[in-house]
Amino acid sequence: MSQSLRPYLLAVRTSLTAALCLEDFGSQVAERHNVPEVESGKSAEALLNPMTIARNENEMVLIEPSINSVRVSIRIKQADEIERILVHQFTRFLTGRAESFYILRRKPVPGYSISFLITNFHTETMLKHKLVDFIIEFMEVVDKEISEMKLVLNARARFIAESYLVAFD
Amino acid sequence: MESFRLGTTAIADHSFNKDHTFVAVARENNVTLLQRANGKIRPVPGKAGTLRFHDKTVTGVDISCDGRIVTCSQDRNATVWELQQDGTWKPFLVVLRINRAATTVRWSPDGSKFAVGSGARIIAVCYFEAENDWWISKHIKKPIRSTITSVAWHPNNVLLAAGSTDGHARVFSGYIKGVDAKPAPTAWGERLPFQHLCGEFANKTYAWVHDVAFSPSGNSLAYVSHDSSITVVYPSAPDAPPKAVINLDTSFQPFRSLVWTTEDQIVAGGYDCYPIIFGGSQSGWKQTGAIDDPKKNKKNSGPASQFDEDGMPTGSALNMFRAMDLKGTTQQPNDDDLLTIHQSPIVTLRPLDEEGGRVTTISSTGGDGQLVIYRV
Amino acid sequence: MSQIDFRRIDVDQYDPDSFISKEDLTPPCKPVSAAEQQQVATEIRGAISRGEAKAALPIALDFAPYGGDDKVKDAHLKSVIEVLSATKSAEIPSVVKALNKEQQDVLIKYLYKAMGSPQGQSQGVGAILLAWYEKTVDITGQGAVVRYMSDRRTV
Repeated sequence: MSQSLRPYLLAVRTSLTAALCLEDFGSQVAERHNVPEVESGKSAEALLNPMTIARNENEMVLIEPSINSVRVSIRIKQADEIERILVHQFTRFLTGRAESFYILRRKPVPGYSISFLITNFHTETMLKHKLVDFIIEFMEVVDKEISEMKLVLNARARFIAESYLVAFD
Repeated sequence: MESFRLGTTAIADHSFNKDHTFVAVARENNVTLLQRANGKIRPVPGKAGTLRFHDKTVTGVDISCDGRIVTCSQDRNATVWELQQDGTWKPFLVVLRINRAATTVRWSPDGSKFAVGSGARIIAVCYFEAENDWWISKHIKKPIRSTITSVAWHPNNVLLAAGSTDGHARVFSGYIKGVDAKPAPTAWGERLPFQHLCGEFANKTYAWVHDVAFSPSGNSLAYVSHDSSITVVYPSAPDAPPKAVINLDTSFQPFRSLVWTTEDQIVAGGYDCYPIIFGGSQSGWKQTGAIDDPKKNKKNSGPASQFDEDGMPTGSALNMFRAMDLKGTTQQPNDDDLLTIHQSPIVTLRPLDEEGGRVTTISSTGGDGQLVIYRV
Repeated sequence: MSQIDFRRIDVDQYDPDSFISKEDLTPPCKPVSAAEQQQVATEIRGAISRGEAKAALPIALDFAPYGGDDKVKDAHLKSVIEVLSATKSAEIPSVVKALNKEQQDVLIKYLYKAMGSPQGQSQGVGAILLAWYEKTVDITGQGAVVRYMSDRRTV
């Protein structure tokens, strides 16, 4: 599994490093404002070509770069109904606490499980290579977390079923 | 190489005065003045050490040859500061008439006027009007289609180059009647009324132009853009296509700033956090070296802890391969810092000392609050 | 509640000199017709069936239809994916090295486009594309990725 995960994460790492070349950019639309251009989308020239890195239909990353912000959206693997529920609960837990995660977006981009919004103010106060490491680490851990939760859930279900059926033994 | 940690917040721009005894640093909403003596850089004590006026991020600062400081900010204003008898700095009004953020400011070589780039798709060329005791501006508008990212003056004090996020680098005439003497004709143009477009250049990708600069003689123009390329333009004659336009695609991340050290050498710095040297002429340009190259900077890093969170010994070969396998990292996982001096992208490069017609040291600032002086 | 509809109008879009149009943003490109693409596609398919995927790649990349419409671009993407799938993974580094800088940049553009399209995400193709991507970036460095992002001409 890690054999095929490696090129995927490597591609995300390279793409993110290239996308996180951000600068301070005062809005051309709103006077005296500084808005993430990728969110406002009002100045076409401030946006760059979006990048998709896909492992298969169920696992992909969308990186939307612009001059002063990057939106990174991750579709987490959801093979069955249980995983779908687990991913939903897990991302809901995180986005509900978005302010303590700084770069987390409150709402994922449609079609994706979770989104991050990184602006030039983040890259100024945090080291860029650390931000990249964080996203990669997150992607790595989230898969592990979901499959672990699934195992725990199944084990629990089996245990409950067994103790329930004991009565009819 | 000398590096000075001036703080932790990002530095948007910096400028040394003529004899390099003090430096002005644009940081957040203020400009800080620092003295440079005996290899140290210290803040100027007291009130004279900070220029407070702007209420938004200061984006540019420049010191003229006669010691005036000009600052510009995202609050749409620019201010000229003059040193008073008592050692304080007095702000002078600049009538800029722009309605979006000012992005960059540069004095002309003789200090009689300055150009301000802005997000309003305007370059304001400002000069002093004695009867009103203020600086007044004339606008260059056409054919700019987007934010101006950088401006640079030609040594003849009239021609002005500007880079923009619409992907073009342009050369305009910044001739102001009554301020400038009639300029001698150059390869860029003969008759130079204000706002005359002398040249317009774009890469095949139309990527944002981050910085522009004339060569020391003014006979060629270089610009760096967001497609990681550097372009040098050699004009032939007024209103004729240039003799040569050399566009060099590099394998680096984009450059933010460039400096000509001689007629045939350029130093560029940007998102790779270290300066890269290019050399060449009309027949072609190529990378000739790098300063502070991380590939050569092997750090003797002592691992902070012997074991990582999984109980694996850190720094071991096993761990390295594990990190490569799991995360796709190529660096050792416990290497926190980049192997370059700057830990964040270089935003501004400036020439500093000159010897016999070539620049020998350059200064740089970036997002990590450091000022670094490199020997070329 | 039709009285508040006017609030939803984006008045800025009616300002004539305010915004940069799509045409100003894209560099001039030669238009490409579907027939030309067909011709190249046949050529590529011929090379693949002769077992010469190596030779087909530069042909496919040189043809990058910047000026074509979406139909032509999608058709050409299909041809490129065919070439990429036909190359043995052990040969990738040598094939990439044999390309010139321009072709390498175009290859990166196609890898991103392929990964973003349903054809590139279906069974197995994703892994092939990622293998190509890894080996190409090894050779080109960050520059090619940055040029994919910032190039206003899209494949």
